[in-house]
Amino acid sequence: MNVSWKWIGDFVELDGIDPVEAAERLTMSGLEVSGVKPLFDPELSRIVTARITTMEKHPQADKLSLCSVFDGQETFSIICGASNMKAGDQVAMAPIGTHFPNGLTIKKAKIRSITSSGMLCSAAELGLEEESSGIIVLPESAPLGIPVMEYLELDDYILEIEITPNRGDCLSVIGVAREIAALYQRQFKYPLPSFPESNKKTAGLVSIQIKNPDLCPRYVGRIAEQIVLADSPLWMKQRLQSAGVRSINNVVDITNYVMLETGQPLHAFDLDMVAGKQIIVRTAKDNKTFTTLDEIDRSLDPDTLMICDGKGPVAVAGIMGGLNSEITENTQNVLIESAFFQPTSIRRSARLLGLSTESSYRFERGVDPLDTDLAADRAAELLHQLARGKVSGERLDVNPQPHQSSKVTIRTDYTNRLLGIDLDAATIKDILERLQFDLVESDGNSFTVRAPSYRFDIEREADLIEEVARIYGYNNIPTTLPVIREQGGSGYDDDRLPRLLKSLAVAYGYSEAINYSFADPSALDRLHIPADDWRRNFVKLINPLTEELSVMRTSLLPALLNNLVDNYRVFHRDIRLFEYGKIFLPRDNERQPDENFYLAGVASGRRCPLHFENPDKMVDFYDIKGLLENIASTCKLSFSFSTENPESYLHPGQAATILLDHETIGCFGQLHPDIAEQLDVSQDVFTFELQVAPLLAAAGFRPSFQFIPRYPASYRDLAVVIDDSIDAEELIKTIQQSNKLVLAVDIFDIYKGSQIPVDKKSIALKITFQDMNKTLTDKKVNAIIEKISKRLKHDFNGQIR
Amino acid sequence: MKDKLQQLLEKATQALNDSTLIDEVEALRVRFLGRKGEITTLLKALGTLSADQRPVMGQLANEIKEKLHNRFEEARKKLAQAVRQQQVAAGTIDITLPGRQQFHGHIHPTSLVINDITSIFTRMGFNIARGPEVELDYYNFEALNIPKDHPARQMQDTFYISEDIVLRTHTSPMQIRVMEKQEPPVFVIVPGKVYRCDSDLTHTPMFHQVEGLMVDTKITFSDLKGVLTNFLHLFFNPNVKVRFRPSYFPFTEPSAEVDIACVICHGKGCRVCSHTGWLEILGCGMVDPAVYKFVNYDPEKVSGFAFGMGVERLAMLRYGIDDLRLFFGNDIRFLQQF
Repeated sequence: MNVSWKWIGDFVELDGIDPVEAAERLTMSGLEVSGVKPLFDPELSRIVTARITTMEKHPQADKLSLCSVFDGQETFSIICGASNMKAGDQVAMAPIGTHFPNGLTIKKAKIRSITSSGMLCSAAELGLEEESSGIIVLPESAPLGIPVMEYLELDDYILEIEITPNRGDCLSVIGVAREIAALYQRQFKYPLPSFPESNKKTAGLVSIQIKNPDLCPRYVGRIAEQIVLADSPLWMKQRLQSAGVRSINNVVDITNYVMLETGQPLHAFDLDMVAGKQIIVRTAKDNKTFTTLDEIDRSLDPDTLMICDGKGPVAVAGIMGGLNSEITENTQNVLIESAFFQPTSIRRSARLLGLSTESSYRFERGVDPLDTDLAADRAAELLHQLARGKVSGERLDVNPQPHQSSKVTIRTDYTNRLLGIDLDAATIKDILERLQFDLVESDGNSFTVRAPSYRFDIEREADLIEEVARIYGYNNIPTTLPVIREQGGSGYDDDRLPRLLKSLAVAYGYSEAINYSFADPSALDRLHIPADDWRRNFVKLINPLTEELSVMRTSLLPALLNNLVDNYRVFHRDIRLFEYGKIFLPRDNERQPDENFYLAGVASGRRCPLHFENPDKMVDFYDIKGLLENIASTCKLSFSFSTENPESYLHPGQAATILLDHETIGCFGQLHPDIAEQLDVSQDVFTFELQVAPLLAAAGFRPSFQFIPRYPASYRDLAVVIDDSIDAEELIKTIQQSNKLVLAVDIFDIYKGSQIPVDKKSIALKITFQDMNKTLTDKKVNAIIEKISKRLKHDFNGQIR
Repeated sequence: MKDKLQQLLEKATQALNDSTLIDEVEALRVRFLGRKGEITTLLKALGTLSADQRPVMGQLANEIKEKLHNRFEEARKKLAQAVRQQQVAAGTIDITLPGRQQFHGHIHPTSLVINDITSIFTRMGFNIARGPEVELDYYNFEALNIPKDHPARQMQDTFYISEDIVLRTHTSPMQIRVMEKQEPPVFVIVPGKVYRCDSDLTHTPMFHQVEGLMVDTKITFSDLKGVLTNFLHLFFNPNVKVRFRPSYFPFTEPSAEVDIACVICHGKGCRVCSHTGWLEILGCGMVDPAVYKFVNYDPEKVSGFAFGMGVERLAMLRYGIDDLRLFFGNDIRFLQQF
């Protein structure tokens, strides 16, 4: 909200207060002022009042005049193209050197061979209006040689204030003036409007009926007859403009002006268009549609409050008027509506209509129920002054539910305890009084007050404590550190497992991606996931941003694959990304879905960075498996891997399911080449996804010390040729189980080539033997190797090389 | 025998002196001292000597064996050292070539900032709590003193799963959940994802927040100032200016917003701070008594405060990132900078 500093000065004495300093104090007491801008570019203060002493036609140009302009000290010869002035007029002269905000600089110039030393300004050039038809002509009484801006009292500042939803009372000039009065301990004064009343009675000209007093507890009407519709005076236009409101005509401007000044939104009706001269305030009920003055047909909820005349609705109460009762150039008699509408009702109706206006914004936050009549009178005063309106006597004030503020009590000791300060009762009392709270009762320690009628945010002691704190100054409250005691409760988050998993992924070259939790339901189609798969059961959004973000994700892979493709498109070729995040699955008989953490990743490209010594190999299945094995061993667990039920999005020959204690917890492998092709990625892509909860449940983080053998281990290499179709795991298991002294079996080479038959492979193994109780002899080890060789021959038809 | 031994010794020594390769030395050793070596064979003949000759011969034989053995060892050592020296001389490399690296990944800046924030608070004694992202309207709004028709609840801002189930719009629902599950004292922080129906240059539909809650018998507003000032000094720098100014949240009263002097222009005014010299960082306040009612805490017996901050905002200030959308683009060139 933009508020004029000078306008505030109409209601509180601002002498000696610098607007920038006041802005700072307002900010520190709860009204955040985001900027203080001078109303006009300071350059424009060079423009001074001057008198045209002589004026003649320019000898070479009929439409131009040559003026001698006297600023009280010097006379300047200025050429001017306007025709609305004459010799003797006071004008606004811009001397040589003035820089206008639009870039124009006044220089000595020859216009049709006669020198002009300055410019006579129009209101538009000063930024007072959009277009002007002539130059500004000031009253004769204007002294010469003073800045025009000062003379017009336009040397003003605009405060840009952010008002929080609980301070509807500050959505007006007087609201801000009251705050300043409280902060600087000055007096706030609102002069009572004064104007002559005609001998007609308002009640004789219009009747007002309120059918829903709960929604409209007060409605005040004032009538001004025989108004003359015209342009508003410059000072009103300028004040409206400073608040960002466009000037329309004097009547409409007056309603906006009073709203900006007092915070009470007003509505002006053409009285002669009010059917039956009846105003009925009721809910829409059977009226289904209404055309608002922006020419849009709107459908109405039956509980929306409407202003109706004898025929039907003429306005949506508090929100927007209708097309049928607007002020036009034919309007002669004006009815001013000043009313209190119940905030919740206005909020609800405005939301249903999808409308938000300056009026509805204020009604939603609560307007002062005790100022309804004052605002109506202020409008009447202005209608009389500016539109020559004849104001009818005895305003009509229908007040079925008069306002009563409730009482609230604040305790001194509790206040000090909560804030951590030590104020005495007198200080608290003083603050409350400065804020216009009515003291009803007090004992030594506590005060019972009634809040002013415009403070809808004061209902309880906590609200009063906030008032005390903000006026005392938050920065005056000390800074302390509390004692943190042992708390109860359990089930606090243990961050260890996620941190470990992320560190491992990072160590294997994966960078962490964070993707939206939303998903595109059709993304699973692209991964060939079957229609009855558990991942098709989505938690759906009623109001998603787009179809691609319309459900909650049931897998981390689709987004990671998108990340891969996006990076691939900008020519990254070595891509490893992981995400640790939740998937969402609806639960039967539960309103909230299951939220389960998964760890997933995608990898493609080189195995190691480019290096003159590094082998030029690409990432493959075993690189993924390596990370997973490392995860298992770090958690002191052991995964098993199976080729049963591979995921449909994986290469059928390079896919594995991850099992922990016979439960499937995830899967990994090469992305099916068909899908990689669709993604336009011409490298092999690998993925993994595993559920984290089972790891958390089973992981053991505290190692148990294992006895270190005192005797050395023995090693033997063995190479055996077996059928290609035999899984390495079988071979290893057989060897491990053949003798309890076998500690480890490591495959270090797999050879298929010239010396090996076509459907066979040669596997080279290093076997580690360990006896805990003695050193193993060569003889013993050799014997075991003999036995193993025999076993391999027997079980696998293996030939030892 | 004696002569023969002597001869063999000289022969072997001569041959040793002529050898230049370790293999040759080894071959010589085998030739003379191996199982079928000349000396070994000769010594087998010891048995044919007479009883009084045997000890003398035996001793001599052993002496010679030992001598030869030592000579072989010396020669071997010398040659080995020569080989090593040669290797060292030939082993100079270009040290300016790049080192061998493994691919190493990077933690996302959002996670880095969350880790930093949580570690500052856990050092102070807070516990970490996390909660559901798909929340009941009750926890996200109602129990936080935001009733059904409150302006803070515009349909435009919240994602709905059903009339009563929303994607949480802030991490504040956890205040209620934690207080429901335990008696005071409570000292928790809650990092997590939040969702708002907003998508433009400066808003993403999902982002991260960290919430904090501290409730005990004697917690005051000055404690609120102390804890948050301490946090800001540890997160930014110990000298950063901090100010608290009154504001409004439905679930705190009194409420405040906390600003730090702009880290970019140091208070002079710039585009980042909209020329005010201050950056708004945190929202906070004393827990509203209405909230205590929902969790059956007695506001006469306990008092406390809550606070919340936007993680991406802090990350943007810390790292100088100027575009919020980068956080969710996951471009490797972005991720690898942290």
